[in-house]
Amino acid sequence: MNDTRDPELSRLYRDASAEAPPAALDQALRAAAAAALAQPVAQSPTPGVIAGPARRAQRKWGAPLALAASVVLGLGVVLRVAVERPDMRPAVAEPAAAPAPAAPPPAPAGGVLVAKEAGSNAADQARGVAAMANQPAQEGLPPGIEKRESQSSRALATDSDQIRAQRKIAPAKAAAEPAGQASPGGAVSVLADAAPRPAEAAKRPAPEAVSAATSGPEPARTPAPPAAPAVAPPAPEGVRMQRDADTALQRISPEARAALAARKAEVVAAESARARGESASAESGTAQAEQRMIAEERGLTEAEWIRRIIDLRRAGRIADADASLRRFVLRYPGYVVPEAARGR
Amino acid sequence: MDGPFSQEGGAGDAAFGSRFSARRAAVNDAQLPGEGDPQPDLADGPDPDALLMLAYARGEAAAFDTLYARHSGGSYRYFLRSLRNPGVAQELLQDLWMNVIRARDTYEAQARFATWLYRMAHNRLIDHYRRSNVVELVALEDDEGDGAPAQVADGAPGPEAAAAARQSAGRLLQLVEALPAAQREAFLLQEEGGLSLAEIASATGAGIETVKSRLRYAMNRLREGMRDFT
Repeated sequence: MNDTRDPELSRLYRDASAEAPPAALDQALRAAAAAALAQPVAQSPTPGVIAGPARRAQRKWGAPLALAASVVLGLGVVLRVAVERPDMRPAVAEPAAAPAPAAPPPAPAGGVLVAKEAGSNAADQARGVAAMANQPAQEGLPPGIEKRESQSSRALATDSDQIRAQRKIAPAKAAAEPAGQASPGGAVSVLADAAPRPAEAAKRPAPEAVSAATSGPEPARTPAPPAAPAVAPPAPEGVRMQRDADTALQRISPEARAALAARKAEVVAAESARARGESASAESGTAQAEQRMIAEERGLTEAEWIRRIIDLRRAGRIADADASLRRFVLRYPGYVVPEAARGR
Repeated sequence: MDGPFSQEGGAGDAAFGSRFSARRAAVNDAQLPGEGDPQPDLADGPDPDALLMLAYARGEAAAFDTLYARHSGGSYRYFLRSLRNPGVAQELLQDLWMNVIRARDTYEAQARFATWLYRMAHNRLIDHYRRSNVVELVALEDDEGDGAPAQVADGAPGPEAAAAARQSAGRLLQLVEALPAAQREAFLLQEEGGLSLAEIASATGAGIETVKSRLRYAMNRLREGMRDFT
């Protein structure tokens, strides 16, 4: 340290260094200091010595508190989204949307039945719903209108759909309803969510819709697409009538609408059950007849078989004759089948 | 004599002495563990200047007067020797002390008040260099070696009839002003601010060994230049 301090040089420097700031500047700075004290300053309640530890404590706990608050808020948002998001809840069919005193006991169960069958019998449901909802104006409706009516009348909405419908009720009302008309059940507004592109749904053929309905992962949400192809191509008269019916439906009371929805659900269930029974019986009868014919053909010669085919054609059983001819050709590939047996 | 902590305090120092013991306990609470800043003098006891600053923060205007009287001369000469321009030195001095006034609520006695004050002065000087003269800034940051001796004309200023002491004082000031910026600053901080090596290092952001080297070179130059006058 000796080489960094020289007492003699320090003494000489102090003797030589006598400059001082101007007195005016001194006065100005002192006045500024006094004026600063006179001004109310937002400071901690314990200034000076006590303020230091308070600031340190604030610094020390500020970051952890901010982090904890962020975590709590984030978890809250995530939990809320998880609760409100429909995809994260099990698809449970809701009972009747409103108490339906007029509905028989199967009414709530009907809704469940329809929801369960939505995947396997979407086409039957579409047919039944269309028959129920559009009896006066069935022929030729735009798919959007048809979908809206079917949605509002079926009471197929699940828990999640109901929540979504309640959330979107305001924009749906603004988009689909005339001013001043109420939408009490919220089922009508489901259309805004279930049928975002009605034009595409209308273009889709029925088998495709059925397959989409049967293979869909969410049975509760699949009934909407098959309803659209069930209608015929739109006609202006049908559109107008359907709008009138729609408006009338919206004007009725919520109780009556709920009762109507329950009744329609019941009819849909009955219709689908009957259709399934008919188709099953028809299929079983056709198979039995074919088996019987095959058994009879086994004992016939070529000429007798050909004569039998000709007889079937003459009797008007063209399908049976064609099927028998196919089996004959498979069995006797080199046989020259006469024209009469071919049906030409 | 206007050296640092010299007679400028006057009555303010007396008033400070009477308040010192009463505030010792409070200031002990303010002596916080350092966060990288050297505190060589705080280990011996509370810094009287820090007490004055805290008293001013509590609303005692007289404490500021005492503090200003103790350090205004040194800080002014620090600027004056560095810039060789009294007007600019006064401007920077005003800025420095206005910053002190504004910082009264956030001031913490983590180091000596002089260290804190001259750190702000150093930063203000750097700002001034950046705004006005880049060459000077480079010279300030350049840690040059011994180099050539100070380019001061022998006996250039001053009339022939002036006293020898006055001549030697003028010669010394010329030598100081002719020092390289980094060495000059280290010398001024030591002489005007009364800072130790560690405090100079803290105020300038340089290492202690660097500061020691700068001071050694500065002293050698000054001794060489003053050889004919002593």
